[in-house]
Amino acid sequence: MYSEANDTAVADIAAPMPKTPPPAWSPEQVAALAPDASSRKAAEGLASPHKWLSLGQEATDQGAKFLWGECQGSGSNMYQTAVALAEPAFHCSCPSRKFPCKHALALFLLFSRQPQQLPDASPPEWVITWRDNRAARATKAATKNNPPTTGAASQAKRAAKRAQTIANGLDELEQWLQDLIRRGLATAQSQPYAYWQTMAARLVDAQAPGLAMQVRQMAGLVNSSARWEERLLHRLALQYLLIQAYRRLETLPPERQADIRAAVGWSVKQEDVLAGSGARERWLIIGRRLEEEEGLRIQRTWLWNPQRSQPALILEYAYGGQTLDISLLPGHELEAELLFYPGSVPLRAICKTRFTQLRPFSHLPGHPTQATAVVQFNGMVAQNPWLGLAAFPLAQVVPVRDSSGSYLYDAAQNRLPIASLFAHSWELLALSGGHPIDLVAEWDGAAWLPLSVWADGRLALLS
Amino acid sequence: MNDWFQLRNAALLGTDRVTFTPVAGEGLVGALLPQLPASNQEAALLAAAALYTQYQRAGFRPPQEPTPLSEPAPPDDMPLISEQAAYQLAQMLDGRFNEALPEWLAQVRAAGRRVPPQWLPRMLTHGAQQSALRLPIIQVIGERGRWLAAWQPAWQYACVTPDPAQWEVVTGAARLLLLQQIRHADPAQARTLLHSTWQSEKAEDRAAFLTCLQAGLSQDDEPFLESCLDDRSKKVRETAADLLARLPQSQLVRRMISRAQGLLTVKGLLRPTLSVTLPNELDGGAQRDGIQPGKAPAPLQLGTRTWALCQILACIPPTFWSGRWGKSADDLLTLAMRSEQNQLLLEAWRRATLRHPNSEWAFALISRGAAASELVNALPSTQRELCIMELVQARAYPDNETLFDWLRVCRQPWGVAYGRLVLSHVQQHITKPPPLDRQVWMALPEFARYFPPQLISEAQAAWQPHPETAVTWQSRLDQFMELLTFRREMLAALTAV
Repeated sequence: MYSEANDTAVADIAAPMPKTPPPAWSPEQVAALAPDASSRKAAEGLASPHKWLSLGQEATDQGAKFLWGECQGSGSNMYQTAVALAEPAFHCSCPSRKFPCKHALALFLLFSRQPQQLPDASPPEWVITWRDNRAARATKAATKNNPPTTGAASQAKRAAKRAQTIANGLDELEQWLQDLIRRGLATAQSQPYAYWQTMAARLVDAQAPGLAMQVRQMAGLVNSSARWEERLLHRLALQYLLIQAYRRLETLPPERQADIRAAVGWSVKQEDVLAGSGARERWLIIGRRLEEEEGLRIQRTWLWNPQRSQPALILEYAYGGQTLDISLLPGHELEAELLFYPGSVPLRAICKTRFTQLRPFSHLPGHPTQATAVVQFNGMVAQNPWLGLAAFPLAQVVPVRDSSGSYLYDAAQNRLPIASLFAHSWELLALSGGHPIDLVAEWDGAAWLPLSVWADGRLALLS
Repeated sequence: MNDWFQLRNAALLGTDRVTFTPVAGEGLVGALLPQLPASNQEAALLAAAALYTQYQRAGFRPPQEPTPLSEPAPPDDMPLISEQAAYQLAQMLDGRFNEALPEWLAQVRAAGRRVPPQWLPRMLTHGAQQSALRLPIIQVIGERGRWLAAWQPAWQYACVTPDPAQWEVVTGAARLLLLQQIRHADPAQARTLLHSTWQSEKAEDRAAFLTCLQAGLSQDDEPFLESCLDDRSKKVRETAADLLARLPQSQLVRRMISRAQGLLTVKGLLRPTLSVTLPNELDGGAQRDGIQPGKAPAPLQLGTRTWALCQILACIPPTFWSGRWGKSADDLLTLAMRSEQNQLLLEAWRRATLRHPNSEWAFALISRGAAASELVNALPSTQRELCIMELVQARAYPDNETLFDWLRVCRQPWGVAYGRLVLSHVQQHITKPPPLDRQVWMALPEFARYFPPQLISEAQAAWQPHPETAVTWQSRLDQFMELLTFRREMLAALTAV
């Protein structure tokens, strides 16, 4: 009856989470969920009752509310849209690849402004179907936590097969790397996009998506400006190191094996991570970054543990209309049980249990200088050479602009560049006014990518 | 000796051209190089590069580079607008409901608040594209905004504080805005500043600066303006003459009155008539006072002498004639219409009323067919709605087209009484059977900008389209209600602290 195209697939953390929504969603918070400005604008246009043929809401016994509505689309189309407020999760029958789509956002916006416009009712058939499907998937995901006792042998067989496929792919990549070195990096600049794309595709076939993505990124790197050849050589060298390391995987300690598998793109299953247990700790949600690559959306939500000065990364991927979890709102804190993916440096994590509701934090603790943040990052890289980036809160840095670019400068006279792809340098300058400010930025070993700024008692997002 | 730069150069050129042999290099890393397992040159190079890469990455130390910092922004005393108001601003800057932005800016200024820093870049860029919004934008960006504006050439217009000391410092469009702001705060000071640099300004700048004096114009400006009548530039002379003609007590107006002496007479008591004598030779000073020789420019069809009289009368406050003959504006215009020179008199008094705004005269002129927009908008803003309401209530409009032209004249948020007037006239058109009145349909989006939001439910209840035209009306009405709802929320967000 309705298309699943824009449905909420089970996200990274969809399964066994007793989620609690923020106390109330303000229209500003809802609008912040929009994937881009044009979606926000379109959604605002639809966020009035007369755009909807029907509207409704339901409070379930768990206290989680559902919203639904039927929106008149262009022409004769009518779209069925629903929102599960607890997460929030979205469903819409429209063909949009944006997520959440304008209809789902509009419905949510309308509710946040005029909840009385959505009459309390029992949900129609299609909402029930969606809700039940979601519940079924969640249960399925949860039961995966207890792997069946039988089939262990076939699992091992599958793993061995994948290991071999990857090994073959890596042999091919090694040849490709050596070819590139033989002909010289200078020739790489004149290579067509297909040169990188073909190798990336082979690596996808070889079930090494992590390496594939790195190769694709190289295509962009050769056309970037300063010191591209050094940056490219760094990348190639780390890939070579990874190939060598993978070949001696069995001889390495388990954490390092996990680092290598993760860098190749052979991820640990979420349910395996979720099977563990972690401590209840206080986490600040300090920033979020959404990137898009070949139809794949990558969302990095950064958390910070103020007691241990440790970052955690909630990393999510979504293709097409798949959902990204956007309920961890930057600027808020919570007490949660985080489970880290295996590896020598705990960084990527899943939020297994939320013990408290999100509430805005009132103080952003940060590294006193850029140097201390860099030293922390260096320590992580020393453990795991393939660790790409991490976000750190920095206290009292001054954004500086000159003809050569933008920088962050601090009281210790450390001066480090801001990434040239950073799109909000004017906003950053405006927020600082030339004064030192507290901010959050991703560090990749070469440049900062600012994500948010502490201003006027709240976290302002640079996105 | 292998170091990172040799490695990089070898990689850049390729091992086809440069032979790479790992030899022990400097330091701990260099010493490890020969020990790297490698089956061929390429493998050896990649292995060495991996070693250096990891060494460099894990051992990176941020450079310490003492950097001179620019002067930071001074502190802002003005409080910020609320988060909700900032979000509404973002929507307008995204292009949705941007027709409400002038009202928003005026309200933010009235509340003495400022735009949060994060929104300043987009606000400044908006002003760079829309020069009409520059002055209101400057007033809500605070110290932070002025500081930021100095960083981008396109934002220069906003980086001045209304500080007289800046007058000889800033350049370009920013000077005009500076003068406008100073004039607003202290008219005499603006005049003194302008006078101080007058001799060295370019002719086109002098004319533009002089135009700024129209705001806050007073008798105190007369000596300076009088001296401008002898300026080298024609544009400056014309502007000065126009400003002097707006001062009822000026020497120029007195000279005009004496030129008009004996040219207009009212005769007869029972059936009075207004007779017009055209001037013969004009005195030598007339041209200095801005009277243009020759025939009137099109579309006016006035000969040389008629045009001269028109220009003379256009400088004299119309109330002068009411006083002289003890007759109301309405009486005088009735006489004027009966005169053979009715075209001249109507045009001359229309021009005079624009310079010396008077609601009684505006009413009398408009009800005799003069275009309403200019005359009403010349009145003080508090009198405009009243003038239109009186015209409408007097049913002085010949047709619906004129009625809706009049209703569109007030381009500022309306009071409740005016809103109800528009509401009832729109209602008449919406509820009547076809044919649909396009003009009302076209006017609705404009009405939505000024219509009082507190009347939203009254309008919703009253505007029930006739069934046969409902489809055509519906989208217009929806848009109207959307903008109105937005404005209601916008105003609420600005008044709530």
